[in-house]
Amino acid sequence: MIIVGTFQPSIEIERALSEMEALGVPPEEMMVLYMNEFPPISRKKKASADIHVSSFEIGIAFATGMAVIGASIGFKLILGPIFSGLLAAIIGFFCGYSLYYLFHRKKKNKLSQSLPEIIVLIQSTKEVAPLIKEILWKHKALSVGMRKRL
Amino acid sequence: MSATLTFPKAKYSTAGITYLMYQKPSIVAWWSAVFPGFGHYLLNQYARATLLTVLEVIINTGANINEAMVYSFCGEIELARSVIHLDWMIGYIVIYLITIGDSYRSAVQLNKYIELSTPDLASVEIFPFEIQYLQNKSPLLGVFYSLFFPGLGQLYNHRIFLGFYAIFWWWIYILLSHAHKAIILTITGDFAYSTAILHPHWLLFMPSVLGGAVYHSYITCVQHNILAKESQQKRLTDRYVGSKFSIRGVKG
Repeated sequence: MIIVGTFQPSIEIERALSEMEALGVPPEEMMVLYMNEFPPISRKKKASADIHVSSFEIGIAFATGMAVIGASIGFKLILGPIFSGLLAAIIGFFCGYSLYYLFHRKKKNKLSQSLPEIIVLIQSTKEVAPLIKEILWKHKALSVGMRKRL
Repeated sequence: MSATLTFPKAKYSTAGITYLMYQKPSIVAWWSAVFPGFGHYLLNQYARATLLTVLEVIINTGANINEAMVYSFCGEIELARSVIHLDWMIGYIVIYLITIGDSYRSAVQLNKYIELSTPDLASVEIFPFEIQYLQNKSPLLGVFYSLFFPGLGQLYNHRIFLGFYAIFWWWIYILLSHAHKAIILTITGDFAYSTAILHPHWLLFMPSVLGGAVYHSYITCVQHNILAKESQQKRLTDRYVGSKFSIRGVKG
């Protein structure tokens, strides 16, 4: 039998794999496959590739700068330095965030965000197949498929 | 001849996970300008970053930079001029600017090593006094923790010494600036008195530290998530190559 399970990255997949090994499925008869998005994000800039991460980066940088100025001027305002600083920070954050977001927004395939990222292929005998399916489901597999030998 | 050119990109220790990952040099330089040392925290150079932050508090206090900033932004240039201590000023400017330059240069240099690094990292490592592990984290939760009290977001990311270091300083700022007392007084409507009790020198450290702590915990969460995924991919694809796997399956 061929059994296929799909997962999102978490420690659950490793717990499932080790449980199947304990059941007697040798590691050589299993295959783990990672699916990439298109276009693949360059490895180097992975952390900054996400638009929201970059927007947050600019937003919080603006917020901090504005908060220092806001708190300073606040000593002369009725609002006081703390609230004037916080207000400036909030305004700064939204300005920075939305400015970056609007200028760098690209059309994105929304479907790809919800697709599973890891695929596990297992080859087993008919007898243990139901047990393997059970293990996959128990460890939060997104979907499980099975078919007989051709 | 050396066996390999590559090296692991991350390492566990009692203090947390120290790793090499892409950092935008301009962002690193900006955080160094906000608070000397913060840029080096983003580069995971925790020892020099911590020493730089201590130095900043000492020489800022010596030179009265924060008071001068408050007066300058309020348009009182004469007062700003009179409040600065000239003995400290030139040294402050030199250290401040060179720290920014150094963090920018380090970011550019460290980014060059990334392609030589491999994500060889276990999911857990046990130390005599700590257990460190990788886990998918929510960057927004990290933001909220540090927003409420700087240092809590760092604890969420298992940077335990940095977490308690930040909590310690935040208490110093609260107690010396009377910020929390002023918040309560403002809420109860006593605006004039609440502004009068605030100490500008210690208050002006707070926005920078708050912003830095929030950004650090956010970006550390994001990068831990990438590390967790990359190291798991390396572990699983190395072990489960499917050498005896046939897509037609076995008989049965």
